[in-house]
Amino acid sequence: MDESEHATEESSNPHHWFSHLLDRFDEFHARFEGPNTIGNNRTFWAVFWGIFAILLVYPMIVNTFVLKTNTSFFIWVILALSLSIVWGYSGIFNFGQMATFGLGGYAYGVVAINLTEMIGGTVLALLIGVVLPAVVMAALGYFMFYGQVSGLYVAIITLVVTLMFNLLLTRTSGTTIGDAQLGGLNGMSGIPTLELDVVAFSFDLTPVSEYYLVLALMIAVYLGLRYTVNSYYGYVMIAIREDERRTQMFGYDIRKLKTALFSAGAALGGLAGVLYVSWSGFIDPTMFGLVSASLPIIWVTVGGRGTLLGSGIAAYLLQYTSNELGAMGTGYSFIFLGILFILVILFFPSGIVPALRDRWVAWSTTRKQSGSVQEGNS
Amino acid sequence: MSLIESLFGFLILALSHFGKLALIALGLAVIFGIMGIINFAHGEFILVGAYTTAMGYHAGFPLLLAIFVGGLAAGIFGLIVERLIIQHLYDRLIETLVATWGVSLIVIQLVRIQFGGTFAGIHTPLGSIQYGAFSASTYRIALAGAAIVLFASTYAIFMYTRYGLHSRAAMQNKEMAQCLGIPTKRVYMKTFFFGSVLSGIAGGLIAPTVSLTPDMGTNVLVEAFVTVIVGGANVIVGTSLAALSLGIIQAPASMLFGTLGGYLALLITTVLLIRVLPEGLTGVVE
Amino acid sequence: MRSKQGTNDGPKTNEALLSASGLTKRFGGLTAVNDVDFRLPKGQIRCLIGPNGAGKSTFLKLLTGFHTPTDGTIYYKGEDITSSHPHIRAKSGISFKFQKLSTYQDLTVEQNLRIPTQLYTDGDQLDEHIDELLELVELTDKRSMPVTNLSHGEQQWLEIAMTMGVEPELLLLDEPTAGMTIDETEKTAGLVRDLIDEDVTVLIVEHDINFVRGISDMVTVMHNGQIFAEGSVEEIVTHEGVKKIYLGKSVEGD
Repeated sequence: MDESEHATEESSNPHHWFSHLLDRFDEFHARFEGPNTIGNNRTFWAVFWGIFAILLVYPMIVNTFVLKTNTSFFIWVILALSLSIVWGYSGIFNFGQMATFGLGGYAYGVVAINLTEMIGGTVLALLIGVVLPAVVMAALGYFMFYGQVSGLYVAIITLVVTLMFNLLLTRTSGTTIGDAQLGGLNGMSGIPTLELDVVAFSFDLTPVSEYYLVLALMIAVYLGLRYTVNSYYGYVMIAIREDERRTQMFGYDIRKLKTALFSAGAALGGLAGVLYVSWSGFIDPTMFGLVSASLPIIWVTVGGRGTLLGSGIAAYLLQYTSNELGAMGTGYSFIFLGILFILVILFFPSGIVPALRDRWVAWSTTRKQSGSVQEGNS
Repeated sequence: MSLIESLFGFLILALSHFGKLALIALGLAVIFGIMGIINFAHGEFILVGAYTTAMGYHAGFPLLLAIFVGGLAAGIFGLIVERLIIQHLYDRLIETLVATWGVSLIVIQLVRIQFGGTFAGIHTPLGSIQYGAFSASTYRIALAGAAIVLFASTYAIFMYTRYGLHSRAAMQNKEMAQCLGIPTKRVYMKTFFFGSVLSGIAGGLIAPTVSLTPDMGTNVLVEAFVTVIVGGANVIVGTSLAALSLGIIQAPASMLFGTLGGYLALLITTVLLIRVLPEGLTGVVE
Repeated sequence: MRSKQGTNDGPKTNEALLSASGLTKRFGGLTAVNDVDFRLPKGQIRCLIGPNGAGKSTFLKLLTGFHTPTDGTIYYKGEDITSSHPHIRAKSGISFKFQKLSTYQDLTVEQNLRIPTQLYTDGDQLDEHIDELLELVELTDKRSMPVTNLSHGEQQWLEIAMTMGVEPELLLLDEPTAGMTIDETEKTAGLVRDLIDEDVTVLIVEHDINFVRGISDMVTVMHNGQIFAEGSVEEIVTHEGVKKIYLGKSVEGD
């Protein structure tokens, strides 16, 4: 009320300028909005970019150690987003998303150790780290989706494949690929960090530049996926999740589409794996263990399967909490995660963020209604 | 090694692989076949059985009694899980699956905190049999016999008890069973208990042949899952056929390429098979 | 809209859009569809009737590729489509409405319509096409409602609109009036009659003989997995054998 009075009192020019800016603001975001995502209004985006601004100055506030830890949380967010697409949106019960992460990491490590000095850079290693999991999962997807096995079997097979990678890699203590020692249970160490020298742009990753790179990728992946789920392919994904047979009868080749989605999710999971291994310089087979494999499932279930925002937030907060609890011993953090996980499944089956959204919507509509009633009375 | 010896060795090995696969898959298959859900904490039910058996054994119980106690412990644990979690999630397939995964995480960590990285195992009884250059543990072969006994008992329970009749009815057609006044919820509870007992007994039986660690459940999970996928929904025939054929495949693969080779052979067989038979061997049987 | 009440126009042309020969489907020991020869001329509205378990639904599902036939061939526009995948048949213009209501339950009316339509309509015309379909089934003012808020009849109409979204040449409807009130059934008949102006050939499985009488050119009767009789509505309702297989149930309408 106050603002509009001010605006009419003074010349309308600055107000007009401001509303024009707001229009542009809304116009820009419109492409990321739609019924398939949470957060489709000006308030959401204002908060979103506000948080982004804080994250931009974050490296100036905290020490390197805290910053590095935070970078790893962003990487987990990317992994969570990849599973949200495959499981949450497309309804493919992929319990092996962690395998794509590990495969990407191992592939990056092997190539980077062997070729970084020779070709001066890790772009090739990055590419292979993204492509290899996509190819492996496309092959697995072909057998599952063209065989039209039930979703239950997809869940089991993807998990079994993950555990097989675990067994395979624990038995590689003497195995070397070129200069890279896979190292069995001890894992592979001495993996170079990403060095990007694309076109005239080249920098070695310091903790700070690494933070900015991962932050940029996380935002890009989030916005890119928001765009996708509100476009043609988003509807395809949701249609497959809701009713495959029906969707097939409309002319969609669900076998091909599911294989493609599964593989695309794997590429994204591989990207997260590459970033992680570049961040830590190290990877071991526990990445493929039952406990690790459960992590993305827990984030996505707790945050809300069908929402990118929920999956991302849950990944960040749960990794943060586990990290704090980890001081007591990793065992306790997994017990906490396990209990939280079961409670959410029992009491908030669609996840915490959608539940909060529903509360918020209910609250704001009743407030508006009671507000309008009061206005009517006065 | 002569041809006869290799052949004999192969048969013995196939038999012992069959025994292990059949044992560790049975409890999972019962719950899957009747209730249509896959218990991701299956490995931990086996773990509970194995650890309890080892504790009983070290406390001076005869091995068979200790195994029985192990089965009972797993059964009680299963009953608790069913009452606390599973019963609220019927008709929500994937939620059940992820919830049992949560149970598995909690159990693994609790065991690790309570008992550490390894637990005192049981010495493999019965010695070994020798044939030329080939020798094999008698106990591992005896496991195949134990598996056959357990399958026969399970078959008898399904065919000749009231519970068995009810559970078969619930499996065929849940709505119809309810209309006929069969308490399907109670049937499911009993099924979960029954499956857990079977897993616990399997855990006790294999306890002398494996090292007892918090992730022993995860290690047997792969083989149990694969056997159930290959078998399909038919508990007795599907699962035993699957264990038999996978045993025959796993034996030479692990003989030639080690344990990992055996696992890989199982996985590849499974992935190829589902392309042709999405419903597993059950699809052929029916 | 053209009134077809009680008339019998017969086929517009003689060219068969769809035909089947020797079509057979067995499930284990049960033969659901048994050696069926069938011919559907372009532009016709054909009703398929028969007692429960006659094999009508299975027959439709064979035509859509939902089931694979044990034996026999299916021709569509002169091509053998017996072994082609359901989505390929859909793309070539065969659209199917399941007997069971199969709208996407978690989505809004508009989102439901978008899924079939977006595959056949370009981005800039998509909204317009969805508007047309909404108008066709009179759901324009409910476009952003979740489908679960619609009545049963409205959901059925929405689904008919969805099957129209794929721009079909052959529409297969499995009991579109199941569970509908008399008013709703009449409205559905009107809807289907409108479709023929769009040059769509229609094959409907239906029980309600008044509905059949209102819209149909020709009626095919199935019994025990076989085609029992075929003819105009009047021929069928006076057919002694047809009366018999309905076991005394009146086929003449109430």
